[in-house]
Amino acid sequence: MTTLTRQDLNFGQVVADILCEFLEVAIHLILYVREVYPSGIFQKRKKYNVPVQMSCHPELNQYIHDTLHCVKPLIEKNDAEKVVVVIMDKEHHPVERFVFEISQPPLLSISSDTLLSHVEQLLRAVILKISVCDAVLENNPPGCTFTVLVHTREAATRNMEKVQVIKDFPWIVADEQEVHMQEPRLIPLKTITSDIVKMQLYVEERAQKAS
Amino acid sequence: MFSEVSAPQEGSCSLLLCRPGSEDQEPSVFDRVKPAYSPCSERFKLGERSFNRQYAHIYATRLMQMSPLLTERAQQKWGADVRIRKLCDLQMGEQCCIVGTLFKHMELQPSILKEISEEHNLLPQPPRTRYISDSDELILEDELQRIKLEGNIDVDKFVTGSVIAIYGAEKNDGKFTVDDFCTADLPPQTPRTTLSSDRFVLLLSGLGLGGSHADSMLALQLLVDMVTGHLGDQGEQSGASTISRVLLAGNLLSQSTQDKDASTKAKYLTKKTQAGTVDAMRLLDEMLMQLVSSVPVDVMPGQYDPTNYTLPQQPLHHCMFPLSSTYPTLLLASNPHQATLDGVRILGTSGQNVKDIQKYSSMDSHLEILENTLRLRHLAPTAPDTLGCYPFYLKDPFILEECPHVYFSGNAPSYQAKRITGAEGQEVLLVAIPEFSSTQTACLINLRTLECEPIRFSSFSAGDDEESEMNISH
Amino acid sequence: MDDLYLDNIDEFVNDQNKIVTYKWLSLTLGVHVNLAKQMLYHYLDQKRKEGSARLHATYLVSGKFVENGTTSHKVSVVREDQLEDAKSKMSLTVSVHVYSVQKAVLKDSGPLYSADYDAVKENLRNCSRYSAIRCADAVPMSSAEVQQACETTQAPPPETEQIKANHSNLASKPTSKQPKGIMGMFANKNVSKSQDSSKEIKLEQKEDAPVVETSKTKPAAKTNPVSNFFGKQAAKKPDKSIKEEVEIAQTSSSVDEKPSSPPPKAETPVKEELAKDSVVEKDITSKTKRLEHSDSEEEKNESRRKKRRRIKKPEPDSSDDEVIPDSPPQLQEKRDPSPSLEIQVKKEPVAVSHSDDLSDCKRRKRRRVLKSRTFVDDEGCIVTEKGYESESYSETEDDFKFSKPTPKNPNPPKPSTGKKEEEKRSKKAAAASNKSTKQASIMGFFQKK
Repeated sequence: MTTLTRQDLNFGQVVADILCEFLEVAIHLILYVREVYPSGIFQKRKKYNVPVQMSCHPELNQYIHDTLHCVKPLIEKNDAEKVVVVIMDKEHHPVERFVFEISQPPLLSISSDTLLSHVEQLLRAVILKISVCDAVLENNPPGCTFTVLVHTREAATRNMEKVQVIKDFPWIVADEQEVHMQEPRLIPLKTITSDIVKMQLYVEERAQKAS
Repeated sequence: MFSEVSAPQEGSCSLLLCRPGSEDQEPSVFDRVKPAYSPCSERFKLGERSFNRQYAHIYATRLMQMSPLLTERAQQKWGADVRIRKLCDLQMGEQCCIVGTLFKHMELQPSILKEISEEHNLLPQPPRTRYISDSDELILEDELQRIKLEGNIDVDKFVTGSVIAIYGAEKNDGKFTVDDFCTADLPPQTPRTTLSSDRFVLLLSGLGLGGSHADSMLALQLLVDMVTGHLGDQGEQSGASTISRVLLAGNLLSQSTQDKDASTKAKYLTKKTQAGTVDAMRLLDEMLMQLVSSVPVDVMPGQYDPTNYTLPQQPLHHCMFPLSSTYPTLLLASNPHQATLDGVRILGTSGQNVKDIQKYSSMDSHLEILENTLRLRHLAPTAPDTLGCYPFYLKDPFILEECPHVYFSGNAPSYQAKRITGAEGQEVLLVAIPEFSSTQTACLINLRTLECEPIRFSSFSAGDDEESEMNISH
Repeated sequence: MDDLYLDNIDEFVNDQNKIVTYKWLSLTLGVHVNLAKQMLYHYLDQKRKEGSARLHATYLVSGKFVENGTTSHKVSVVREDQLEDAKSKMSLTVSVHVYSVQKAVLKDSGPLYSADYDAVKENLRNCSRYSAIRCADAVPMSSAEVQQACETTQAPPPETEQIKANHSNLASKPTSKQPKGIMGMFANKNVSKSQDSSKEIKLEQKEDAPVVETSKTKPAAKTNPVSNFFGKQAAKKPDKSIKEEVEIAQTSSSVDEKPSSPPPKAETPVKEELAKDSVVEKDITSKTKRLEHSDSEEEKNESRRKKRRRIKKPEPDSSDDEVIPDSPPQLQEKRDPSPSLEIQVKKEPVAVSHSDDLSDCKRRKRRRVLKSRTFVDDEGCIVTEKGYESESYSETEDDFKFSKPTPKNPNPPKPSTGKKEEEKRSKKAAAASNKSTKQASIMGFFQKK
């Protein structure tokens, strides 16, 4: 494995790649565990040396893929503060928000396999926590949908419109009601700290879900 | 059967579905049985390799080694006074017996000459699952000549490279009309010693590590746990301790680790990318580490494993197993592999020979093909014609000299086992080991009774509920 | 004691929301697997009785299963709600026990694998510690035993490889060995210099030479202090046997050039050297030994050899310059004296100090180095040639003479280190001399390094 430093153009890309791959797996898993879509569309695949459930539905996969494709440049520049997967009920009120708080510590270099396998181990732990999150959450009402929000640092979005990839897949500023939940219950799931990324995953749950 | 061996005593409820007993009760520990084991696949190990020789030598020695056997068989079958002729001495219309190597002329057989022939301007032929057609012909060759065969012989059942004896006559048109044929049949067998207690051997193949499908990951872990004595009740654990050996018959890595680009891409482009096999080998090493710390394991390479391509495949190099090679219980074996375990001879391959015959004949069942090779007394008749093989010239190591008691081939699509008896009372257990990554099934052979039993591992998944609901509604 | 583990399990399951499998528990608490299973059952039982927290469990069921007429032994992990169903399907149930306990309802068994994965990986060394089966044979071997086992399996191939090496391309071998030598050169430049200077024969790869000499000089230094007086540089230590062979070949070839005695002389010194070397056994490979042989041989040959001017860097230019190339006749003269001289010379290394060496140096030692020399031949052209012997500008014919005999080398029957090595050397010498241009370019590559 090559050694990269922050000065390397590749550094940001590598971290962004790792994170986006992870977010893809996490989103699929959240959709599976929270039963947003029927389990029939999911198939067991191997990621980080453990079995995970990924969807086979082409449109869903494309949507998630495009979403993350747009998020990647933000992560590369360390502009993305939070990535939130919001599960909404039929009236488009959010019932659950899975918040991935991401920060990249000022790192000097990525070296050796051991670091990356350590990161893999941490990501595995997060995946495992997501798989059992139904133990700490109330069941969702039927007919839920989901959306992905990205909280960025100040000026990042200004340049986003110019980026081609955004033009193909337009993002809009989120509504207040999607972003904030009234009196949410905060349930932390997992926090991981490594040399290349710090991530905190918690769930904001609406007190009463059934409408 | 394994289940009976491991069954709990009558009347006792499960020991483990209760509270832990008092402190001074020692948890039971069973000792792994230690059988007398000796590997005897020396003839499959290649030392210095030289590819300067032509492949014709291997056919020559094959014929030379097998002619006397076939002559004897022919005399047994058609009478001691049957005329055995060389092709050059054939007389028209005379009923006689000829011995030689079969060559099957197939239209569809991929031929390099056709591919590069400029006259034909052909695109390379796409790989097919089967290359037989109705226009195939059988030709018998001996040391000097060859002759076409027709008549009472099923062309589809034979493959190139088999040595057989034919009884018939040459007719006017220069072809030999077959009335009957015979193969070398089973070689002599030394009777095995009868064992006093049950001993088992676990046969496993097609682990498919490094692949992207995760269906069999938990199943593999369950298998390892069972064999090492973690899983199961006390009865099962004591049963597992009678598993004296585990034999992995090839395809330990998944086909997807074979990077197709690697062979065609320029080396400098692939310099910094890690081969798919590196991670997979690490997984294999970790898995083997768990096994070898508890049971002796024989590891045979297969079609997708990092060793040489031609048969006999050499053992995987120990440097790829830094963790598990420190244990003396790990034996890296060649493919094909032969060993004697408590007086029971076990011989088998990872399945390439069977799959190749399947492509060039009409036989579908791996077990049927396996039986065929045994009756032909040759492990891989299609080598070197369509199956890669080392150019032997002194002797053909694939000829079966002694009859094994257990004869297996790995990576079959499904589990099959059969017991056959030879003319001289030989008893052979034929086993087609299924691919674990798709079937989650392994084979347990009882060395005392020479019986084979499949062992299946399963776990639950979300789809199960819906399935059971469907069943009920019917 | 009994209740402690219950608290532990409670903490894992409730507080940390973990999936606690029997295996994970046994590794974490350090208990036998069966005990872990019983603990889990106890915990489950107790919590159910208390009516508290919602807990879910998975079970392991195994037994005889009949399907389509075939009986098989089936081992499966099932959810609690599927337990009875699974048991009923089996014709004979062999074992049932708790597999895991967790708060979440597991729709799929995937997380069960993940739950154990890391724990198992970390505990690979003693993964069978808590299992119910002990295998007497499964004791890891010590590293010495492992090596022994490897050697026995590896033994046949190396022999064949060596034989093959004899037939292999000489040119390729030197290049493959260069890298090692180069590192050695940087490591031991000083030492090598002294010894190397003694070698007048230039190996084809100049860079190689330095390298080779470096490594070679180290062991050689102890036995052949004489070589020191050749002063600096030239790590022509043929660490690689090829070099040695080349050198020895060169020596012999150069010897051959000069009429008469040389070959036997070459041999005798070598033999004596060999004898000496066998005494001075070091923990070095046979190749190094041969290096020493050639070293000593070279020293012997010093008188026979002419010092050549070396133009290339690695050469010890200064000392070389001082040692003016002798004309062939001179060398011959030197050679003609009986082997006794050589023997004397041979014995010198043992006792001689650096100063002596220096003086000897003036007597034109031939440096056996595979070097490419650029020199001006008599026609006034600048010629770059690879030769094993040093050469002066004016003596182009010497070059020819020197290079010609190299193919003739072959035979000096060098005992002990083995005939095949000699054959190798001679063949390599021949090939090396013939492939001067190729070698040059390869050397150039390494030079830049």
